[in-house]
Amino acid sequence: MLMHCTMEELLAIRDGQGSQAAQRHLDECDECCDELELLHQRVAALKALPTVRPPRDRWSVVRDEVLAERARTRRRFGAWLTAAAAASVVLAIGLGGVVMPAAQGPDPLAELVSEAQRLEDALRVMRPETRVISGRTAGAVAALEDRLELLDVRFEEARIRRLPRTRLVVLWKERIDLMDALVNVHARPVTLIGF
Amino acid sequence: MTNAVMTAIDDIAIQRAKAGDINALEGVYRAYEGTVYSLARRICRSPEDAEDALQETFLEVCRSIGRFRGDGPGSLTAWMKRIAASKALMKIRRDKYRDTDELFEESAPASNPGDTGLRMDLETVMQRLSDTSRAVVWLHDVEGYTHEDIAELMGKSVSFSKSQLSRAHARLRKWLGEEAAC
Repeated sequence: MLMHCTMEELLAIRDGQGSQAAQRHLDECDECCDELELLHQRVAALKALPTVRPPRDRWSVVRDEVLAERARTRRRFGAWLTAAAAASVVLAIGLGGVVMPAAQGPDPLAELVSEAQRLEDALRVMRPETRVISGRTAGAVAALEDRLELLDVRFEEARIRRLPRTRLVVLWKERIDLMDALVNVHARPVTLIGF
Repeated sequence: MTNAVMTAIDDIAIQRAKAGDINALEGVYRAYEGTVYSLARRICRSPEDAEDALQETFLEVCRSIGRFRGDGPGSLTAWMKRIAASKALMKIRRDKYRDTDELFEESAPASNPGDTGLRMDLETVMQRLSDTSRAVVWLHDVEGYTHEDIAELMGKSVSFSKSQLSRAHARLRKWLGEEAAC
């Protein structure tokens, strides 16, 4: 006579995947039938456990974080528009031949704007707002975003005061460095601790 | 209870939430907080961890619901439960309870005041299981996940999931048998 069914065999039978031998044994063994019935009862009791309500309301925390993330995204997009506007004025003048450097070849400011656009696109594709990041990374991101915000104030000033191209080039280089750092921070793989 | 709550969310509310309407998102939270917290509470060892998993789940839901392509509240529930399961599993990974699994499994049952009857016995013995075993039992036997689903969520093999389930049931059977004999 076959030995009694193991728990693994009982679970397989329950899930319709039991071996023929185990099934045959079950048909003849009251003890194993009782065990299978206990298994069914245990699972039914688990399914009957009531819904548990959270002890505290977490919605306000979730809402605040969602609104803060939206504000950050708007700020970044708005900042990009400001910086692009500052550059477009100078580029437009440059194309008109007023401030265009004498040297022929690619315009460094246009190249910088293009590079910044590429980094903005890379960041958008990463969807950083949807990523789980560590506390340290979040700190680094916040610091970089703060510096970008300060830089945007300087871009706004440059736009209003119509600062020369050389100053804009410096600002755009700085923006690219910060954007590059931001992309690198978000590109770091998330480390998970295994089971 | 759960189904009754879920009917409070209709397709229009879901569409508004997908468009980012913060009031509609709150409606989603109110309708599903019990479902999500219950799942997290059954997997996590402490209520605090379950609360964190609840919060992280809804943050993820608010960020991603615009990309949710399901049809109706039923698929929204399944989608949300999957996020909740993932967050709860991440919680138990992070907390590294694994190191003390055997200690938990071999220790005496926690004696909570008022733990009477089969239901409380079952909850008590579930808490004695290791975090991983408890999660597998809950996800497979209650939530209806396949071993393949669980293996994917945990980053483990199908046979790992199967062996955890069988081991957990053997222990539950033993402990509940002891309780009944007392």
